[in-house]
Amino acid sequence: MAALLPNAQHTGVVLAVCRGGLTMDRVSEYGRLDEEWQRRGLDRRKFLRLVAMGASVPTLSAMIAACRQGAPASPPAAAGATQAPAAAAAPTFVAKTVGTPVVAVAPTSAPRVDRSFLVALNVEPDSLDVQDTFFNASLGVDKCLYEGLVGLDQSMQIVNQLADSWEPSADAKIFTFKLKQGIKFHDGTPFNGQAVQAAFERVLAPDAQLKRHGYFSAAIDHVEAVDDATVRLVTRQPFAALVATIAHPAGGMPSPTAFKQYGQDFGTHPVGTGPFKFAEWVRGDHITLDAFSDYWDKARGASVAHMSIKGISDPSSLAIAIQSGGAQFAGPLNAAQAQQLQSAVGVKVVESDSISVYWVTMNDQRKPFDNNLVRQALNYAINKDAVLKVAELGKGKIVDSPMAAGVWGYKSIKTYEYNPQKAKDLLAQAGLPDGFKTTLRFTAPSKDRAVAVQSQLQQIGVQVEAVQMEVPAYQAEESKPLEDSTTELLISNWSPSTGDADWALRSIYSKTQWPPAGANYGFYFNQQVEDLIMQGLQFTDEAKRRDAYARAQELIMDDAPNVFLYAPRYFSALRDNAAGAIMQADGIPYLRTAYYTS
Amino acid sequence: MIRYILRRIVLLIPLLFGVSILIFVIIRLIPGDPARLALGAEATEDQVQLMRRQWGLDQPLPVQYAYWIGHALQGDWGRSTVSRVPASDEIGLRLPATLRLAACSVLIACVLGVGFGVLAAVRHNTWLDRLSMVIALLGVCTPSFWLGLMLILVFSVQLGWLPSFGQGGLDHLLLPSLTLGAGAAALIARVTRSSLLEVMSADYLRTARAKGLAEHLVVGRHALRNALIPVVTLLGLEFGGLLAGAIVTETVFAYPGIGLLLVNSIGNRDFAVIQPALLLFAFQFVLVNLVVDILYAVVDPRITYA
Repeated sequence: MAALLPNAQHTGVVLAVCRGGLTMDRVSEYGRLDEEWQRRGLDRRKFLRLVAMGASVPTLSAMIAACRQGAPASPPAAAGATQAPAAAAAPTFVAKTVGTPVVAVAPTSAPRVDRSFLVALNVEPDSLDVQDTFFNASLGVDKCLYEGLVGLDQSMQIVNQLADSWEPSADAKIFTFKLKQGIKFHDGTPFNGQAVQAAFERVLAPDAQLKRHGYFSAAIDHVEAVDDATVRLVTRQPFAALVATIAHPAGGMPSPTAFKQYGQDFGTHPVGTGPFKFAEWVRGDHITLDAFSDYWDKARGASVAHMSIKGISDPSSLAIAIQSGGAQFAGPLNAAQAQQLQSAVGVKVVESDSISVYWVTMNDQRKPFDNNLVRQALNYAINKDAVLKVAELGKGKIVDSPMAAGVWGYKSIKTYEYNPQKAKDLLAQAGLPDGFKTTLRFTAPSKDRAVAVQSQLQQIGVQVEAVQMEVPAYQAEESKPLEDSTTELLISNWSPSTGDADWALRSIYSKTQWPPAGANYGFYFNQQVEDLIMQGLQFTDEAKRRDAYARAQELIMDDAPNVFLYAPRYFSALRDNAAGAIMQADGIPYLRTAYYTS
Repeated sequence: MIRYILRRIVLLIPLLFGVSILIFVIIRLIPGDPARLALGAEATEDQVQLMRRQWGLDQPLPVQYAYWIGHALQGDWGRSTVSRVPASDEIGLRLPATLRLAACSVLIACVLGVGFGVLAAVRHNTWLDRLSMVIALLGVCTPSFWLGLMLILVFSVQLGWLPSFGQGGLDHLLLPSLTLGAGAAALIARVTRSSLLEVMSADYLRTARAKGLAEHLVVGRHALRNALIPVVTLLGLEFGGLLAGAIVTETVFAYPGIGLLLVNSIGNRDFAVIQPALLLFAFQFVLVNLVVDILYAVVDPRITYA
């Protein structure tokens, strides 16, 4: 689990398009393709900028084609049993948060084989009720069992799942979805407008206390089924990020018959429309899913007859599970285990981008952090590369914006370079030439980060007392309202749960999210940023949204409310004869396309 | 004897009540809010307050306790605040696995411990004695996570004989119970040896030898039986401890035991699961102690209970 609690999951969006277009089996080609990118002198950021500037579709297609030349026309031929899946058709480039629907053409899946695929995750899922969990592990399994109106594919692009198309109203308050027809849940219940309405009403009811209630009720006012094939989602205020919000796996549709029948026990009797159906859960040991033979999309059904999911929380044991051949997929692995597995026989290690960001929270309302000069000084004082090396073996990317490059709306702003002299000068200007004393709180997984930050701040005369806390105690402290808050410095992390700039910025930098209401634990406030974040929710025009968020990112970087650190990389491993499973950029395992190559 | 056992069992009831009050109060003294933890950072303060009301966390402690114990006596232990699974299921479904592992480990500890202990005592001051005791010393000192990982590396990764994780048949049980049993075996070997050495020079052993009894009978029937009392005590303590789960070993082998469940529940302030789990441990421990007391009488007929 992440250092900060509900490592909000997100839906990301524009990831490297080249990667997005690849079928899963070609993960091993990633490194090579990346090189190719570089050789062509077109880095991801430039590419994104091109997209933002409105590059035409033919141009994009040409670029995709170019970027694909290095890849084989089809995955390595399977030896016998399994044929490799067909390559993806041209993917959708940019997740549409508003406006015209995306027509997704996902790769077809490999033919089903009568074998069991064992997935080892770093923790056992808590509940398989899709509306009642924050665990990435649970959401990974949920993505096999459930589908939403829209969803996120393995490269975090929004794709249509149970909806054929959607249309927002001009004021970004009413979103009308056209549903696919003839789909049934695993228990035979027909999927239609009424089912969608019932599913949303379940999570929107405050009394049910489902864990995702807050997530949906912040945006959605009510949902109405117009007829079998049409449903309308009405937001409380203009909410242009709605589609990204429901594309998150928590937007998966549970069967109304089943959740009424099982009530509180729905979490151990999950029923959705996905390619796998629930078979059994031996608590504490494993979960088994079976391929759903009546899955509506024949070309993209399950490729294995059974899938077992097992939580192994010891990092060494997790690595050993794949090394010994006990599991076909293991993830997420930490950098050290991944490095160790590189040399293991029969195992391929997969490295992928994340949209998770680490930083040091400063309490901006508290002396001396209420002074911009002090906050900037701390940003200059820390050698981010050194922290990255200590905490993640150097695997990651120093951030140049409050959010990671994979989030929709991201703009490269700047990095505070490592400059201890400048930091000292700024402190002197702020009237603190001899530094000051402060306290840095963190939880166990952030120990390396905390120690690195502590020793570097020491260099500019800031004496840091580093206090390791247990998660519940840590959270109880950081969630206190401003008048009771004792927060000075915190090691923090956020992975925006929608992959959209709104949830990346609003949750951390808006005054509406000051504790105890939300995760703005540093009590940051800037009226201009506040206005821009709200504007971003009102435009249905993508370019206007991007402009608002770009400006907000600039202002935040100048204000330096946090010490910005880095976005880490994610690691997972597959057996040589397995493919189709990977860690998404938001930390959720993508498993539904898992298959055997031999 | 029967009356003694009955009296001990009746005494269990006030003891468990006392323990339940202690548990109830102590877990509420540690900082952290179960409602906020269950709902996450995204939840509004109103929602958290509503959950506190729903769970009765806004009530005074005596009211909360009365409500809890009242329902518990009717078999309703509440639901996990994390998974919503009934607490009795969360614990009950893992209990057999924990019992199997504890029993298997104690068996291994018993066989290895007593075996090495007897060997060392009989061959007192020879290289066999010293080797046994060095092995025992290593066994006591080896941390279980290291031993567990080494066993996995050898038997699962290198040789591929045994699975490295999970539960199932005897093959799944062997490595974790060896890991757990090793430490206990080492301790038992040392105790067996020293307590055997104490009786070895006793007069009745000289008599037994003088009347021409074979040496294995002298040691097995006369010496060992007199030396067993401290060993039984130790075995009881080890077993009682193992029943409360073996967190490290469960983690290394991803074994679905109660120890890991308890640690995770404490981390989530999942009172509904912590309370019955701790109560169960207290109950098991008292029960094991009772069995140990009865075993004293079996091992040593001079001990009687009235």
